[in-house]
Amino acid sequence: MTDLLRARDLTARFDTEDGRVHAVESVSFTVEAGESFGLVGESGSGKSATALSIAGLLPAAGTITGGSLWFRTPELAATPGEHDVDGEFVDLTTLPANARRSLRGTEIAMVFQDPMSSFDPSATVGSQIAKAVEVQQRASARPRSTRSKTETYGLGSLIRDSLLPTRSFVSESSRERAIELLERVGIPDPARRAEQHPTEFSGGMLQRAMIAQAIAGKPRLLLADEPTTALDVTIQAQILSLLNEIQDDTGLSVVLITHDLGVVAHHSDRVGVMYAGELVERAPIDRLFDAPVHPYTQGLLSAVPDLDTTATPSPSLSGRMTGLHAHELPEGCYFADRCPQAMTDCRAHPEERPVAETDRHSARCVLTDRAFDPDRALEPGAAHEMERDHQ
Amino acid sequence: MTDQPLIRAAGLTKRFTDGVSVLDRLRGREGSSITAVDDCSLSIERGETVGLVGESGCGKSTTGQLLLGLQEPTAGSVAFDGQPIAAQSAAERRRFRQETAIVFQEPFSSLDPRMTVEEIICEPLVVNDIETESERHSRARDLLDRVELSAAMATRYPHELSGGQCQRVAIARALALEPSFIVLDEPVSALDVSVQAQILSLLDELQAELELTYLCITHDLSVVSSLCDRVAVMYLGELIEVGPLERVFDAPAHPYTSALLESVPRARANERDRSIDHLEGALPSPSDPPSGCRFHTRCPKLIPPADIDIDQSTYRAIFRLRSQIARGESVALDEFDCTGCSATVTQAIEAATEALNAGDRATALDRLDTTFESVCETTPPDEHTTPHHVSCHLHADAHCRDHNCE
Amino acid sequence: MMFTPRTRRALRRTLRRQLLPKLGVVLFGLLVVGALCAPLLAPHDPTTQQLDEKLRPPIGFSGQTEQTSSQLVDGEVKTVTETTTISATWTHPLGTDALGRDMLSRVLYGARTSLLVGLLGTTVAAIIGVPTGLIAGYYGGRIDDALMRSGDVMLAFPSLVLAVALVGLFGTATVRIPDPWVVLGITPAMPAHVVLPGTVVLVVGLVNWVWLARIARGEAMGLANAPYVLAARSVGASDRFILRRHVLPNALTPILVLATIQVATIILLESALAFLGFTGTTLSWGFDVSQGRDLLSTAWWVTTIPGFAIVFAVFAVNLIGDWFRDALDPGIDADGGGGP
Repeated sequence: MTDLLRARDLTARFDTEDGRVHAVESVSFTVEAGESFGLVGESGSGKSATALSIAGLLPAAGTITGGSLWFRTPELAATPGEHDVDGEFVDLTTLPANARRSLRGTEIAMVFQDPMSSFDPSATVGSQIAKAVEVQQRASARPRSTRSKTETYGLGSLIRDSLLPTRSFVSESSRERAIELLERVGIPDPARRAEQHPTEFSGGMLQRAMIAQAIAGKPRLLLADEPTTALDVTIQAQILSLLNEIQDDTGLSVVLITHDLGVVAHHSDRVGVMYAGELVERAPIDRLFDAPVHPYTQGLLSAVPDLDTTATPSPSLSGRMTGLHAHELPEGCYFADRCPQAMTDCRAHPEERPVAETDRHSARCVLTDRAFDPDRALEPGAAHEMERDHQ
Repeated sequence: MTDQPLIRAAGLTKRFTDGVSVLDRLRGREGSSITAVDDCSLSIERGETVGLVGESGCGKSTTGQLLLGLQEPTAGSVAFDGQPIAAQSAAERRRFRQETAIVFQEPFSSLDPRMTVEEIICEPLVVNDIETESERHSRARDLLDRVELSAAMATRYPHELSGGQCQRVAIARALALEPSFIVLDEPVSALDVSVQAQILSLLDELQAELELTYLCITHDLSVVSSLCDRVAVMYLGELIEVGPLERVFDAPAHPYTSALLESVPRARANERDRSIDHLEGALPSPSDPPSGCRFHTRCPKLIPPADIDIDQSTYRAIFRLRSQIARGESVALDEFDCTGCSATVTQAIEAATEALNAGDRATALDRLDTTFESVCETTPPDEHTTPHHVSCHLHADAHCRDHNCE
Repeated sequence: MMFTPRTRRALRRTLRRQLLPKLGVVLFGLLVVGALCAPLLAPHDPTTQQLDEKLRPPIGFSGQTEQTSSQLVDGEVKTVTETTTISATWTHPLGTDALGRDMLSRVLYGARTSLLVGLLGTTVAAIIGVPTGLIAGYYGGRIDDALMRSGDVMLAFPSLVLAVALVGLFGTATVRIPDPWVVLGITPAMPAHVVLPGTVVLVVGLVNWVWLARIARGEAMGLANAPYVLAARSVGASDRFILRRHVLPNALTPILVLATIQVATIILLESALAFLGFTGTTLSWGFDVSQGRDLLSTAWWVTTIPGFAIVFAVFAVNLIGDWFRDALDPGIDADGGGGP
């Protein structure tokens, strides 16, 4: 399979009033064309920040401070510019802002957790999707250069559209396409639904509509940030199967960001587990669930209640994640003070290393190439001299 | 102690009226009403944990608050320890308040941001004027210890705590009056999975130590499986299945329960290969619930009339067409694929197609209804007690006689 | 306790970071010091009339007075207008009014009236409005309708018209508070009493309570169903207890922000009433503005200086209000902010 996205040592920081937050720390992973890559972690682990970095949507306080994001886009790679090019790959972090923006929707699309706040409540769902279609059509009508794409809808168009509503930005064909898209994502009676406002949609319907909007530009990478977290479980199942279907049809790659290991297990081919801004383990789905290496992954898996047994899950992860401010981060392994298998070796920060011979499974842990040695074990919490609050 | 259940709710109903303006109120006019809880009966024995599950908006939180007397039921009654709570005297009510407690979902918003942890934990004692100031102080330390928080937490404010710590404080507050019954309203839904496991095991320990009775309200079936002894499943304000955990989870009797169980993605390596036969559609609006069995609009096991021979997928397809016609949507009935259908079915469809092509929707619908109307659409199901409490026509004696169910 | 440590921190942070709150604190501080220490700072008794010193311009300006007299010129009685130029003196840095009263002293003493009426009037409004709003919002339903609709009726009248009507109804009662500086003999030459226009305080409070009631009601409606309120109810807390311990403290911040801005509104309303002559004291900026109305062409400072004082006070109070709002707005309140 060909790669679509290669993140290499991606690092992102947030500047806050209390100092710099190390939100994403040297994260590397690859997304292959047509696959679904799951990014799991608890809140504050940096998984959303990673997705926003890829989409180029970090808030003003956030910046990508290091690493590269190689995205395969042959046309853009052939266009001369200041961006770094490697064969068919372009480093997204070196693209100017407008070129970055032009990729959004057409190459990289995003679906968020809360569909209600992602739609403008004052416009109909159909018209909002039609706009996305229109942008895409205008973009592809011109040669794919970084300049012309951004000129599709500027201030001038906005003023013209507001003054002359009859000369609408959205053409009739885009409207029809919007209805097709709504039908594609399984919304019954799409023509009538397109004329409704977001408040008239249920949460699940709206999430479908958001997926319709995301695939309007026929992107090749879909970043889905907790797409089913706000939904009921029966609706979640519908949305996941819809994502599956669309992926099978279009060969879209999906990066699925979620805290729910079940969702990842159901949907993804490969998984990355994030902890304190780092990717601590990366493996194909079966390896991750059957042979996790990193003690955090192991703890997380054992904490998930199993529906098919009645045992209370073991609270094997005590304490809580370290704060991500520069001054809070320990010297050594970020997980060591919660780690049941912490050793003296963990006082040094571990590198990401392949597990055994497989290059598709790697972990940022000393246990990748040595076994746990009880003689060198650290008492829980002894890894770092830090203020420890009982969780 | 008596051997009657600690909590017994009978025919509990709660209706909310909505959209009433001042003028309407002056005129004595009523707005649209939503029946959040409809004729629910549930008993909870001492020391057991009952899980109340359902999707959002199904009325499970309202049920919890009705059981604690935090809302007045529109109809029905709740008895605590055999005594109806509506008939309590002031002193009895006080006693009841001390015997019960509630823990909410949102760890931060369930604690007053302007109070310290100690003030929060001691509030139930202050309200009921129990113990002196210094006794309360040491009591707060005990309670913190009980929920595995350090005494240093006592002077903190909620915003200085993590989500898990807040939830522990909320549990400590619930324990302050040494209650016997605690309603846990989505106690871990807002927490990360590793913290969830910690809180669940804490709740488990506390129950064993303090002989507590829990009602655990949640949408998360895995929480139910790890914490509860019995399960009650709610759909659109109705309890549709109540039974022991193993029985309900291993052999769900109601099609909704089985769909719910099937929908939960399992955190396992072979999960990708498991295909989920997911439910269609979304939860209907509780202000206008479907007729008959409320689940029939989404049910994968609709019961066709006894006189027609039809497979489930065709029957469901026809059901979908019927509801589309009823809603006035455009349908292509003549494209309906009916190969292998029995003569009755084909005739009915042909007749309806004709009427529809002639522009007569009512006749078309009527023709289809007479042939295809399901008992699930017309009659609300009775509550059946085999294999456990379940409200579904599939378990009616008549249906079982024809289809020999266990 | 009014503020939690977090609120105090937010207030400090905003003060440290932004310029306008700093300016507000300085200006409001000047206003308060001026009002409190008026007897010490004022060069003259603000009520003493020195007709030979009348209409002196402020430092840096020169003024003219026209004196009209009838003279017998060539056997005819003629009206003669004499124009004399009056120069500024340091004895009256801001000049004097038509009766020769020192403007600086009047401005300082006027600050007392404005601040007292502003603060006390807001207190009256809060005493009526906050409990009304909290009860209306907390209970809802008919109680809410009854309380808030009666407030809406009051809002239907323009506040000045309503205030004038009420002052007319009650008459202008005043309260004379002995001035401690004078009582202690530090400044014996000054007026012995601070005259508080009691009716005006009451009336501006009555006119403005609805705004505070509205915001209190909005807050209480949200808080009535807060999980911690439900939790308190579940352990048997009475409505009284909940209103006092949970609803009021948590509703206080937005109420306080609005109340601060109300102080400015009330200062303006007091000035307007004083301008129209509905006041119990002549030591009021609004009164002074009205006194100088006829002299605008010749002695602009008699109106402009008290007018400027009003603007100054309203500006200072509004800056404080903005500071509170910025610091306490829950949207900006969050610690840290940003972050992943």
